[in-house]
Amino acid sequence: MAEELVVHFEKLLTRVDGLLSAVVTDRDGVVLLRANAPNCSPPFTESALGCTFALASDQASKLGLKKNKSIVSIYGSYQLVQFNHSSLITTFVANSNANTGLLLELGSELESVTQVIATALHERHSGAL
Amino acid sequence: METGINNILNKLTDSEGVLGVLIADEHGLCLGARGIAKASSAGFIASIAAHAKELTELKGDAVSKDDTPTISVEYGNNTILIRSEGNHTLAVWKS
Repeated sequence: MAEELVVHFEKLLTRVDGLLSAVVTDRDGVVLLRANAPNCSPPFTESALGCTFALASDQASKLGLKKNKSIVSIYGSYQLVQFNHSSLITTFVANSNANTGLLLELGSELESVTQVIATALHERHSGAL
Repeated sequence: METGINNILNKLTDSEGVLGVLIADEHGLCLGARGIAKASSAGFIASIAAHAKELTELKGDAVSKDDTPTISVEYGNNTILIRSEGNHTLAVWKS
């Protein structure tokens, strides 16, 4: 199943022009699923993506607007679109001129997929105890 | 700040046969939506307009303002007209 998920994520990379990488991590930064565009070496530390966003999302949830769902961060050459899907974090890394709206929609579509991963993790964790 | 855009959207929505209107910015983010148009469609609308524009640029000549394409998506009894001007993309749902 893991291979099918990776293939599914790699296909997603072709749906949006400029999308370089799709990563699913837990809140501690452990990478669960990763898909990179060919010839793309990500200029970031993957494990830092998850935990840095988790901190930012927790703080953003204290603004009185209920739970933070996503954060878009735009840099000079890149943009990060990150989603807080309960226990897992989905991160898209794309060129700064990529279509942010499409990436936001993609993340919403993937919520059901990350829910499956989260449930599987939870069951494995419960079984191990 | 958004009064101008809201006025345009309201004026378009009141036009005959118009079911919905949406304006998206260059990042595919929704600036305003009325009627049956969903804000979540902004990314797709901007993407369609951008790809259509690439088709017109392929011929190698300088692209003049008149070369901006208008895309028509027909489904059922309705049509979505999509056009980019500058950094914004407008979509109109018509019956």
